[in-house]
Amino acid sequence: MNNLFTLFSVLALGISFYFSARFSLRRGETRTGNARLFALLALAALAAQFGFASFRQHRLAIGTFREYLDFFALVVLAASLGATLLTRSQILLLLLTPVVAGFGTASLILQHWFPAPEAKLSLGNAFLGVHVLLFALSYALFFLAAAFSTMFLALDHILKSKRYPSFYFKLPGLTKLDAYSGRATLAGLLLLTVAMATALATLYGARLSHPVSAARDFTIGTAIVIWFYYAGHVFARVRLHWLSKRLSYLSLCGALLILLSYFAAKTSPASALHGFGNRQPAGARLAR
Amino acid sequence: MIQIVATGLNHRSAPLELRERFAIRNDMLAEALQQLYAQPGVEEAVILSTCNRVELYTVELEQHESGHGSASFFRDFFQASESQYINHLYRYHNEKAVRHLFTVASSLDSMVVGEPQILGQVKDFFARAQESGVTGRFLNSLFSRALCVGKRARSETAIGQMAVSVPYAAVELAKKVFDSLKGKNAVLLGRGKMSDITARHLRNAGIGNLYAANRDPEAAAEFAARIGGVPVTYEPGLEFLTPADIVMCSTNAPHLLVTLEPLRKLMAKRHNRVLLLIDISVPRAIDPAANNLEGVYLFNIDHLQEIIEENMRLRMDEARKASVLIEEGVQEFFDWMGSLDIVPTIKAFRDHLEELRASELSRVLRNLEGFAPEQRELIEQFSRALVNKIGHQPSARLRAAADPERAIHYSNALRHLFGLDE
Repeated sequence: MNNLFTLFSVLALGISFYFSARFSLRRGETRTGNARLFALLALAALAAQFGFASFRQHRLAIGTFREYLDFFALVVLAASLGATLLTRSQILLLLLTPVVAGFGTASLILQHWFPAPEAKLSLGNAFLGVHVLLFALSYALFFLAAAFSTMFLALDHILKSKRYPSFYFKLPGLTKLDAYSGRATLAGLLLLTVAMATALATLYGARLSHPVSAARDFTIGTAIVIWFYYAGHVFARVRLHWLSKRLSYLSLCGALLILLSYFAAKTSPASALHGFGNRQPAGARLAR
Repeated sequence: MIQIVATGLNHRSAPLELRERFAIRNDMLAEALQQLYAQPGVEEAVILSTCNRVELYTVELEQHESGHGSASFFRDFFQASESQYINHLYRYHNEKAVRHLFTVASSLDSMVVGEPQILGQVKDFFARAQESGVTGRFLNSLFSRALCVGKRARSETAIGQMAVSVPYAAVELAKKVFDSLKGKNAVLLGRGKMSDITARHLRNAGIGNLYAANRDPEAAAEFAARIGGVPVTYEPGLEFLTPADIVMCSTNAPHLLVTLEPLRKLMAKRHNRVLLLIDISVPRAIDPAANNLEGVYLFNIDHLQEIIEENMRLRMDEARKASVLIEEGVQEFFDWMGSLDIVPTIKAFRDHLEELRASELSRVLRNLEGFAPEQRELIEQFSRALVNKIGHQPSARLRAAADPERAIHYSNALRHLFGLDE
């Protein structure tokens, strides 16, 4: 059943990508088509997948690596749709639907070709649910910031080179793209800070009998690195008045760091808290 | 029989001198409308007089075609000899007239295809004609549809979206960089006609502050007063550009006015805030190397011309899409015209036949008093059947007429032949 939902969402995202590409890349095209509709259908499929799994297990279903990826795809897609509606920029969907579809495809591939002996363990700790949601949302905002930065760099190049491809007419203004990227980064950083605070609350609430080794937990390690990375990004923008172009490149690198953080979580050892390792189900120690 | 007529001169058919001669000023419009309306055969009238055209849209009776109606308006109103304008005058009837109006309203007939002013002008002239009481149901419907088609052409195609003049292209570039010009500052260096036009476009686009820069403080003050801006004095260190977001340079200085090093220092002072430089001077007044600075975007006259040429080409592509909308509008208008006449005409025709039947039947039955009720009923049924048979074919053929124009012709013929309007 989960595979069907994921497959449907990947197909819907593909159609959404086609419509947003047609609008963005055809000069003079004014019909927006159904890009948002199909993205919404994909979102509904992912949400239904999450909902059914949670309902079956009577808890939030974000315990396996596959569910971890699908949940992040859901949050990124929701954030993208929200941002597309706010900014009215179809190019945003064009950039982010492949990312979300990539997560969905990865989860299907991993499920089938690299199955891990993971028990589908549901996570019942309330703080844990909030913590996971806030993390996913903050990372989704960093992805949005990277998408805006990509558009900024493209428009900067067009204006410098004086060559005008078809999507030039569909891009928002340059300073507006920079502002969106800055706001998304700042919002992401604030949410990440709160998410890390909830992590501490979660650990306290769980009262683990054995100490958790953050150094051996790749996800915790990269989260800390990502926090400092984006804190530096915001500092450079606000206090050091760094050039928007430089900040855009930083934003793109940050998004790559987040991708690395997600997929490399699979390599964390079994003893780690976020270990989707080979023996121990993830978060087993926190399940009550 | 009525027809819709479009008569006029435009930038394609007549030179500027002739259009000037026959232009109808605002203060003359009411009188012109009344005089046109008073012409024999003219039932409804609208006049459209802009810098590129003088056009009369009328609903006229066909029998008054030659030498009367709107055809004689120019001669009578302007006291002009026909030979002055007859070779430049165009005259369209019915479908062609409707199509012409829709083409004008969609800005496809304008000097610059896609220009935004024409739709507002059509609306204003139509409103003036309505106020003068010289329009009726045909022109009211026609112009309402023309405005609708014009709006659809602008919203459903990209015909009006791309800049096709240098100052407008400059403002469009500024919007691409800053999105909204609200709160932004523009410095205009040079006080020629191009600067005046650019200042107007920037004001229309909602620019925050306009600064008029010149070496001579008095010249700067005079220019600032003209454009409603603030005067600033040019100096080579470029301090006067500190508040600027947009700099438009249109001078004939023989040397560079904005050089690289002072600009680099200025950008550092501005914390690398984005600066758009537009240099339409020949020779160039801004160092071309300025484009390589971070946060600086420099465009010269050639860059703007390339944008304009590309936009013109795109507008012509969009014009084809707009033509499809125009054809739809023409068809809808004639469908409406057809429906106006058919139903009432059929009813009037049937009523007329029924009146004749009833009158003849009562006359005959008065002379047949000896007939039994069944026999009288039989005669009544016979009369009804006969009248239905007679009326059926004309009604069916009128309803099934191939196109609305033909339906109007048949309807008018039926009314005339049976005296339905008497």
